Amino acid sequence: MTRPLSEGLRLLPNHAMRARRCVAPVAALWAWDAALGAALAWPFVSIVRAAYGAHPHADGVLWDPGALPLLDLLVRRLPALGSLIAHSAVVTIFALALGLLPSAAILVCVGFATRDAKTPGLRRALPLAVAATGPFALLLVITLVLQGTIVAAAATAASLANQGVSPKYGDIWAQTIALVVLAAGLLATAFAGVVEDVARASVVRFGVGAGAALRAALTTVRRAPLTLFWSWAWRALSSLVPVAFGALLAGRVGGRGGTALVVLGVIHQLVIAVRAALRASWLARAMRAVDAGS
Amino acid sequence: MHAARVLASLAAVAILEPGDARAQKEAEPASATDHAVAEPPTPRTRADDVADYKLTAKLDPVLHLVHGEGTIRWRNTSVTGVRELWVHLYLNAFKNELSTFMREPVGQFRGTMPVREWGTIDVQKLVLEDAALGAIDLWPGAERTRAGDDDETDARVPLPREIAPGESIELEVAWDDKLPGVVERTGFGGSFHMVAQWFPKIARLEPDGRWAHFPMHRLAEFYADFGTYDVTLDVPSAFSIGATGPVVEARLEAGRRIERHVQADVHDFAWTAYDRFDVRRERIGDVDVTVLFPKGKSTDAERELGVIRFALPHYQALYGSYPYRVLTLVHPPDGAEEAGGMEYPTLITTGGDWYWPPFSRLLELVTIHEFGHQYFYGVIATDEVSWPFLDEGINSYAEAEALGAWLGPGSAASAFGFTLSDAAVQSVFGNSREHDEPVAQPAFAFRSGDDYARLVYERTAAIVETLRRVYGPGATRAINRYARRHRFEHPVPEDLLVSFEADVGAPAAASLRAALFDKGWVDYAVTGIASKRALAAAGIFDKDERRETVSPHDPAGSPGGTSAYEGWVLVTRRGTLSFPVDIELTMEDDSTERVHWDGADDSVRIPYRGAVALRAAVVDPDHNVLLDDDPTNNHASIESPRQAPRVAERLAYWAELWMQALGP
Repeated sequence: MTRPLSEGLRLLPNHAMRARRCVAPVAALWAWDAALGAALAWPFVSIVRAAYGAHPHADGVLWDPGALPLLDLLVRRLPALGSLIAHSAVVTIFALALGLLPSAAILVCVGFATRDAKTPGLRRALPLAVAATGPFALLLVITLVLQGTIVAAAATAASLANQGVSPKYGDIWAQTIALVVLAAGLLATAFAGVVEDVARASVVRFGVGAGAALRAALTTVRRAPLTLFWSWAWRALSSLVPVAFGALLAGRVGGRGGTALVVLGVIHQLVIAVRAALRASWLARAMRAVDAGS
Repeated sequence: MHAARVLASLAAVAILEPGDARAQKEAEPASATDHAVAEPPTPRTRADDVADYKLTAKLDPVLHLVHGEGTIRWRNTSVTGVRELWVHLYLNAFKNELSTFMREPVGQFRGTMPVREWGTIDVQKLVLEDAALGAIDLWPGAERTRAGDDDETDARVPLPREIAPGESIELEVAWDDKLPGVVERTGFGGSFHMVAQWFPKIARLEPDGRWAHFPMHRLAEFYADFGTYDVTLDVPSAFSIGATGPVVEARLEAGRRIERHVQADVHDFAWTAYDRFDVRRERIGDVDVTVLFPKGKSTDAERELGVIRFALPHYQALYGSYPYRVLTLVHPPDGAEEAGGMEYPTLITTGGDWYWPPFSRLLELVTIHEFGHQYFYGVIATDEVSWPFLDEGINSYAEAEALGAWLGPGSAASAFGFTLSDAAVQSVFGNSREHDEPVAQPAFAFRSGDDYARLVYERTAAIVETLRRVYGPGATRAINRYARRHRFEHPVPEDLLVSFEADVGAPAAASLRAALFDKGWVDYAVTGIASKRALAAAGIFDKDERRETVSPHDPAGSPGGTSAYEGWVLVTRRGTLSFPVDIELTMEDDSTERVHWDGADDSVRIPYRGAVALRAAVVDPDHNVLLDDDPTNNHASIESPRQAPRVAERLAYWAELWMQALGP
């Protein structure tokens, strides 16, 4: 299968489909994440500002040993918690929907180049990316339903295993087996996510709809399921390392402001950028896998 | 690469530099010197034996039945003759949906699961062995329910003759228990059996001749006379037993395990039997500590043992010696969690799972709380039904104090640079119900289980902790005096108040009374703040026989002088309680100065004059007044509110991670 390239783009050779070509789209993905983060955080920050903005230590008081001000704020000063959660839910759904576009843009950038071998700019990449969002949305819904079903089935199986094993082998065995069953369920949902990403790559690579993309993805994954899953997994696991580092650092900084806070903020944003880059790297790998089977 | 190195260096400098200049320090727990108080003149070393029980019990673990029989020896310690006995049959709380326990609409808290299998206690005989009248079975004449009430947990047993003050009687008793599925406190889960409130138990007779008898309530159950319990337990040999008191005899006989436990100076007896217990034993000080736990939960058992290693000497230093030779911790298995978190003499039940993270101290909290009941319930045997705050509340204070002394400000949890103290939890949740109901009222009077938990446990603890933080060692001494003075007694709220008046003073005792009985509350607020260049008084002045005109813009002192700026801070106290507090003034150069206010009036205006302009003020900067209704109004600043950069940075980052995890 080849897609018609009426947008003035040409398909890159397989070995050239690399995320490193796409610094601008990855930066855009980071900016997208940052904007959404700010939108989600803003109402909560406003409440904190109203409560402790006039304190000589400002919001640093929330890090006081024992956390009395923090707990009081969370438990007793968030009367509109329901509306805040609703706000967060709306932003999250909005992000889920619009977030399809940056993913599509990265895949276009990874797989295609302009006729003069340059990375496609926004003007050229956008029509392809926009065209991909419809199939992407359908794939997202299918995947979410599948993942939800897997999680529910795993939870039921874990509970049954717990109840079945406990009387004979004791709590710890029962709970360990239940956790293993749950972990297997989570692995299966992750695998479903891998298939979805490969299907997305198929959408962009071949310009097909969700159904054809899913068939192509299954064919691709069937050829080397473990290799592909590992390609996703090592990136996913690696992306946890900077998160852990960020958490460690945040713990050390505590409630301090000034330079420490600025440095922490920069490092946290680097963590987000690294994760965005790893995500782009995985999408490029998915694109190569799809392309190799064409 | 260079940029990354610079960034790394910056990070190192920023992160390794010392914290803010201000001391971030939670109120210190009671120190060793606080403990050093004189013993009251006559602390009891033994309880007065009033009700002695010599019982045998045989468990059928398949049908979950217990057959019991034995002798009760009871003495009339009141000043009047007695013509009736009141006998508690608390297992009948689980007999049907018409029991007081099942009908009480408290909701929330605990014990809200539906009863999977009903439980009963059926008395077969209650024979009075009387020298004059011979043997008379009193049970046929017992009044098992009241008119219009189907509860069968509180029976009245008429006596054939009056029992004179000081006279003892002996009763032969036999009964059968059908244990319920564990709903709360007692029952079975699989082959695990927690056998509590399981035998016919004589209610406590007050010194004035009034019986303190109650049906089994959902929220409270304990009040009884001290005595000696001599109980022989008979279970299948595959089962391990944990029970009140030490084992004095043990044997295996015809496939059965038979253990005799004897314990003096207690007012209840509970036991457990399970065929999947692992055991961990350790001698801590003079006490043999046993942990019975489901196989595989050895990590939990170690954590629980670690709690007792700290708690035993700590509580002995604060509240007097632990008067028993043994302590047994029972960790119920999965499916029987509701048997956990309970207290019985020399036996407590805990809870938790092996996968509970170590940064949460919930397991430690439950264990130390239940251990604390060996004092506040066990040795200091208050009436839980009438005054639940005296055991659960004071014990919750002791729990937070001990955890604070042991684990510091992270006594409830500690992770990612945050520390959460048990005292903070008690303060915030206790304050959330301060206007709803009084703390000091009977357990059954609370409108909901949630109110009960918030007020009895948390608000009481926050009240006492506030007194300790505000008045210092005196409050610790007061609790200490109360605990030692009323050892093996049945104190009432007035006894606690008397101790506080003696050791802390009348104002503290008055605050304690108001907070406990009258829904007392307090809210400190900085309601005004001003600061400006100090100017000389303007106008025409006759001085030294000369007339001088001072313009409104003339400075009062020299620039940079000690009186260059002036201002004031207005602090208001709302509510019915008052405590002395500190007020911290912060100047433009970040220097601070503290002013003490006795808190007696409704408000105080604190004048300021100094070389630097006043910037902000905070009342109670160390969070000593845990009862403060609204900590967010404890401060004010001259300038308009600043941003919340730390929260903005963290929340935005977490939200970004969240979006990345969810994002397509």
